[in-house]
Amino acid sequence: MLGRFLAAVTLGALIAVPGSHARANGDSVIEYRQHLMRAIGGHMAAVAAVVKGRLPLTEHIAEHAELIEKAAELVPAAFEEQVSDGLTDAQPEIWSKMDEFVELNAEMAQASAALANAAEEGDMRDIAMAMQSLGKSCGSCHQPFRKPKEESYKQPR
Amino acid sequence: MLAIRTSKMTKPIIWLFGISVAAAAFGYAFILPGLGQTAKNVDLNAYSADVERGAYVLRMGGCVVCHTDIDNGGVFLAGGAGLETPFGTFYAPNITPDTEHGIGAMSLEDFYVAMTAGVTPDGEHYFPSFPYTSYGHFKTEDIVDLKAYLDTVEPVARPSQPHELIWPFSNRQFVGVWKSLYHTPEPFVPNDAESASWNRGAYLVNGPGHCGECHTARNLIGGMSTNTLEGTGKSSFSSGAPAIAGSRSTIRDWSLNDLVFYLQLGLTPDGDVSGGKMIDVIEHGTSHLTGEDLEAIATYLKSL
Ligand code: HEC
Ligand code: HEC
Ligand code: HEC
Repeated sequence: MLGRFLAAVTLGALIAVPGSHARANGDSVIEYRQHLMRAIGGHMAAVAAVVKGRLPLTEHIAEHAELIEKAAELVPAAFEEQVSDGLTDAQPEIWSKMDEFVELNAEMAQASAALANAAEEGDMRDIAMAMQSLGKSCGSCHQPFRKPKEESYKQPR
Repeated sequence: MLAIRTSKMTKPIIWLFGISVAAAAFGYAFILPGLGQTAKNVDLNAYSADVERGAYVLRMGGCVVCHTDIDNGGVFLAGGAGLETPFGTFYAPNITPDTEHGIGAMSLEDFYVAMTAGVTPDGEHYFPSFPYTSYGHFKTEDIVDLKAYLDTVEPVARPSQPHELIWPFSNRQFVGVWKSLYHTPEPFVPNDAESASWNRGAYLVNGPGHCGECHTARNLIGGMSTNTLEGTGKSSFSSGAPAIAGSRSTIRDWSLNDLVFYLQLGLTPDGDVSGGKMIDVIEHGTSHLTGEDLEAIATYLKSL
């Protein structure tokens, strides 16, 4: 009973935040953009699972690729506010080179569209090549703008 | 290899260390030239070369990653981009068969000695940024095939860029001391208790694939730790590489299939992509290997 009451109160507080014009909390900014990246990664992993396991779901690859293209539309806003301290691998250069960051995001969107096309055609070799290009487009943004693995917040310390 | 990204080592350490090394180097100046020059007597003519296999050996060895300036669209094997280390920047030279600027004048024997002993045709030491510490385990027949293939590559008259090194590390004689500590060019010895695939994997990883050159931590003078493949942590040598063996291994939960797929396409099972130098290692190296060889690598890594 008390639990449910508290939940209602906290939920109310949460819902109140967007209207309050408060500056977003840095941790929340990080949490959101990392989940957005993981969502993109989830589609990537799903595509990989279909290919690796030779599952008869080739048409799903096209859907996942389109969802990555769609998710790309959310990336610029997710990284708009500069938050480079905390449990994040984002490099501060993102905010001094935002044009480049946005351009690399557009290239990822194009590469995912190309994967969708290849998947609709259905040739496994072309699909694999398109996956490779899409993976490269992720890497082209991670290379300058994301900390290397051994310096990641995910490493056990 | 003493690889890859900008040094984060502080200058005072370099200098302190540099001075002590310089002192040692002067002290040893008279015995240095002979140190670390072990090349075994092998009969290179016992094998008949196979050019096509040689092209494959090039991919096993990841030679393109260093010897081609990939990011700037450089000509195939005509010289690589700089490898930045705390000792300065190394440039992998032109290894096309151009007789003036490439390795066209190298005999098979010269090439064999270079690859395994790290010694130039003039009897000087190569710097260990050329990863002969791993290539020393190359099978002789692979080296013979590789040389036959390299002889067929289009020669390119492009001068190799000189290294830009901090003294005393620019001194090739000093490398002799280093080699006596860290270089033992022993041929690969199979472990009969393990499967053929495991042994093939062990050879590919520790020999041609030189995976440990990046995935193993190094000390201040670039000697590799004995915790082979157990990751560098934050590294003064490079942007580091994760543990792919031991308790810190990031790939323990990966299946064999996941590993093969990663080495082909650079995609991890959790939806991430490969980063840093591993991108080039995959694109210009492992992605060209047969499924069988990649499975062998995966089998070996999973056993560590
Ligand atoms: C425009 C730049 C950009 C592109 C394109 C991009 N990423 Fe990212 N990605 C980042 C940044 C920056 C981070 C680090 C975010 C942080 O830690 O705050 C990141 C982090 C990640 C993470 C880790 C999230 C976490 O912390 O758990 C994954 C997984 C990921 N990206 C997958 C992908 C995949 C897959 C693609 C391609 C399909 C891709 N990314 C394309 C910039 C990009
Ligand atoms: C990690 C980077 C790296 C990799 C990988 C690499 N090399 Fe090199 N290589 C170098 C560097 C740096 C030098 C120059 C060393 C020196 O000047 O002492 C070199 C020198 C050489 C030389 C001597 C050239 C000369 O003009 O004397 C040959 C031959 C050679 N490499 C062949 C190969 C082959 C074949 C492979 C693949 C099996 C390979 N290398 C892989 C970095 C690399
Ligand atoms: C030139 C340096 C270099 C060489 C050589 C190299 N690696 Fe890597 N490797 C890296 C780096 C850097 C990473 C981290 C990539 C990233 O940031 O996602 C990595 C990542 C990996 C990973 C994924 C680990 C993870 O948790 O994502 C595997 C598996 C791997 N390497 C295997 C190998 C094998 C097998 C070889 C030898 C055939 C090899 N590597 C050779 C630098 C290297």
